[in-house]
Amino acid sequence: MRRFATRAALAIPVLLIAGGALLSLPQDEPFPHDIHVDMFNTCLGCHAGIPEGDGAAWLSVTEADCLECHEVDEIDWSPPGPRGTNLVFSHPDHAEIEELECGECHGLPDAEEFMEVGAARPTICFDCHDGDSHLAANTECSFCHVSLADATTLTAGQIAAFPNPFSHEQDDFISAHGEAALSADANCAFCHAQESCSRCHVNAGQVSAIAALPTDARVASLTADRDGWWPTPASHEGSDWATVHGTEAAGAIESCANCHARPSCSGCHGDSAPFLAALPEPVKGGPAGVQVVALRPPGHDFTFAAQHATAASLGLPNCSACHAEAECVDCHALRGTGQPPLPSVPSARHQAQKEGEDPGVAAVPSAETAGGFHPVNFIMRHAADAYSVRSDCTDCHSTEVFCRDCHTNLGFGDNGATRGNAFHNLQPDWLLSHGRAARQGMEECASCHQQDSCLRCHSAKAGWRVSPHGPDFDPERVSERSRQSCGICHSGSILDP
Amino acid sequence: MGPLVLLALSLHPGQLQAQGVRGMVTIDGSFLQMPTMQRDSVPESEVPGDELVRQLADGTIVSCTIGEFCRWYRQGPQEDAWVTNQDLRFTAWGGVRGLSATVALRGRVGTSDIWPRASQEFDALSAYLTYDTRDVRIRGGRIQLTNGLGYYNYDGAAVLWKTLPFLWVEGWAGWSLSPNIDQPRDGDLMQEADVFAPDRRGLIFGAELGARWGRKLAGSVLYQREIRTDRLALYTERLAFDFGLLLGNVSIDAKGKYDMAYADFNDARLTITTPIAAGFDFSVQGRRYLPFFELWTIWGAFSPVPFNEATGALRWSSPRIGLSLEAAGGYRKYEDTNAGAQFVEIKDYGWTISGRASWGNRGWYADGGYRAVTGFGAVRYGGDLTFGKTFGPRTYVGLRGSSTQNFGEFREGEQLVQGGGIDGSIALPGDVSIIGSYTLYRISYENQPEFEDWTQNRAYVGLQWRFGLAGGEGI
Repeated sequence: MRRFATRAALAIPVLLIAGGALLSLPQDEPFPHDIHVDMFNTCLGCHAGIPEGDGAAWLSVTEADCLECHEVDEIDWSPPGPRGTNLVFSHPDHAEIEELECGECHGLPDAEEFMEVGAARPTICFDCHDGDSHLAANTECSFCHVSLADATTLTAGQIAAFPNPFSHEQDDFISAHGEAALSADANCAFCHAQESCSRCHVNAGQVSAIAALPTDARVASLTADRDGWWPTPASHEGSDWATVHGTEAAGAIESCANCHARPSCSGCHGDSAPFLAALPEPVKGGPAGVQVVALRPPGHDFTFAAQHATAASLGLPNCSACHAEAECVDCHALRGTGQPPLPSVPSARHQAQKEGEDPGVAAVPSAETAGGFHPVNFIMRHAADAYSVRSDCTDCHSTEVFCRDCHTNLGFGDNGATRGNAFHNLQPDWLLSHGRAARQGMEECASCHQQDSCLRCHSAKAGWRVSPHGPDFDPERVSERSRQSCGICHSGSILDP
Repeated sequence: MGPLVLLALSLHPGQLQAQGVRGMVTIDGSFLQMPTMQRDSVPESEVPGDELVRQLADGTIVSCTIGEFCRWYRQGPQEDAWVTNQDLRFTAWGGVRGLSATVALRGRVGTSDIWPRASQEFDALSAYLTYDTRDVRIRGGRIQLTNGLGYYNYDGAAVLWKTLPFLWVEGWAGWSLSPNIDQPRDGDLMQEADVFAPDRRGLIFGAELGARWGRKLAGSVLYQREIRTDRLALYTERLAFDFGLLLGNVSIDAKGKYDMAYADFNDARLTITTPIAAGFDFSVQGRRYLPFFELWTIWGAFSPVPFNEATGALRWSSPRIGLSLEAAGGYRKYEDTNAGAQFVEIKDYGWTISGRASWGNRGWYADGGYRAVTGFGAVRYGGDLTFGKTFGPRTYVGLRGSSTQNFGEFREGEQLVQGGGIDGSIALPGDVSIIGSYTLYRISYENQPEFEDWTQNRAYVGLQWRFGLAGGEGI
């Protein structure tokens, strides 16, 4: 008793300093053993019954014990109730080990004094037990822990604070965890419930390892507001993945189904693709799975629609991967293979048939173009594209009956009455320069001018008789094929053989 | 007899599967306000100066003929142009395996004084019978060819031999039609369009040889000629080729058109496309382009010159997030024209630079880009942005806007076109859909005192009904 009084006297200054902190100590804070180090010489003074396994008496002190030293108004602490745990640890078993003191397990890592204690650290276990360390892959969880389903005293917050096993920190864990989960010694159930997996796995109901897990309301509450997470696997990072993924999927579509529901694939492959049956439908309230958007493959620029025959025969890429047969039939059987486009509304899968503004870009729906070939507002900006010949206008349009007809109707086509350079008014010397312009842009000339506009000067029969032929012109080669066109400008004598 | 045939067919399930029809009816109407121009003039003596090009008091540039008139083009009234199209297209399979009939007809009504081809009130695009077996496909009727030379309609027959999986040969012959008009060569539309229009019908002959070596290489070569029925001259004589090669992940495509009369390539392209990193593709293209003119015209004899062009495009896309980004550019250079006065500046080159971003996810889509085309003839700078949402097949609503500056190399002035519109479509029961759009553009002019700014309205509405079997069924 005297020793206690001495220690208590020594402790008074410490307690006075610590008193303020103690007063405000939240009740879920651990007892500050360190500042009581000089007052106690045994753990069992407060924790009597632990060696005997009396869990209810793990803390044998009461508020009255505190009041032996503290004033009433200094104490704002009451012992915590039983703590939730998933441990199967047995204090009585360990108490039988003669040389094992409480501090062996509960002492803080750098403890120098008695009572510098805390919760036992799992690493201590491996001083005596097998396994590399806590959370290591070769450590058997069940040696110390019960499954999550059996750990009924754990709160959702405690579950959320579970540390990650080392294996979960590996870069390839997402892609590799499925195999580990299927192994006989899988430890998933010690931390996870079905809800842990179904947050991401769109096929959770079909995976045996997931189905084997129990459901858990605590885990459900933790995952309810969290979206699924689908990092891109390394295999998907290949630049040719879009081309080869079909082959990969054909051998293991069950693997695809972990992350991809049917909408992932139907956006490109259509709703009737046979392999879709192997993929799950999204469940209301469940994960949507990876969202994949159909994009136009490289090389599918807007000229591709008119010149895709060879690529189609070669299968570069596999046409049927994105296009339904109905799409081919619509054009080749119904449209008559590319006549002036019919009004049609493109779906996402029809985008490849429309002209994007630039090569390789999917066009967007627009009724202004009536589902046709050209982008919106093309009529007001087609001049520059016609000069630069983004696509060959004459592949689809008659220069005389389409281009010239419209230009003439609007008033600036040549109706045979134009003289001078009233239209080409930015070129004061148009008469001298028009030859160069004409040879560079003959199609554009023909979109406004009739042939006889030029014959006023360029006919050999009358007028200025200016030869329009360039230095490489081969009259014999042309006349062999069409003496009649020669006859437009030349009299019969020059055409005589 | 007919009922007996039907009864016999009905007792043969396998044949019944081959019966059916797949078709589409489209009725649509377009409205468009168009600007017009009118030639105007004043006596030359009333315009100060003695040059051939002068300016009026308001700055309008005029072209003068000494002793006659000074002429220019001024703004004309806006014209309301509209056209309605009625299309009927179907393919029917009549119960004999491999036999089908394909018909595509179009009717038009519209403002024929503005809208091109509106006076062509009936248009038979195609109407042919097909008999298709494992080895041979035979077609007869009005057929449309689609090949490396473009689109050619003709009345005749075609035979495709396809016994070997790696080789196919097709030959065709018949009476040719004016390309993209669906009339005989001596038809009235062409006669009205040009005083030297063909006065005889034409005959067309052609053949294509195609081959495929696995999934690494494929190609085709075709030859086609059209000749007047009096055999006095050819209308066209052309070759086309198209080869595709896959080397690893690198695809190489070479295609071209060749004019036998002028012994030159009209359009030859070599395109190489390769993935360069995850999500990135790069393509480069070399191209030579020389316009093609049919032999009944004199244009080819005017010795047009080709341009040579190099283009490149870098594209990144992520199907995960539905985003695609692209930057592209190109440069073209015309060959020497050997014509005109050299002291007058005419550009012999052109640049193209563009960028675009497209995004789509969960039905939402956005698309925006900018494109600049400079150089010979015409110049434009402009961008556009579209945003909308699809609610299912053929059902969407979207907004769009665009702004474009147009310049001409040969005509004074600048035109700015700005505006936007709304697009929408709704799918109705019975495979019917209705689509429509309305657009408003503001057209502004700079350096063209003879033109006033104006507002353009456009509208489109269409109804589309697809009927019969879905693709792949019953064939």
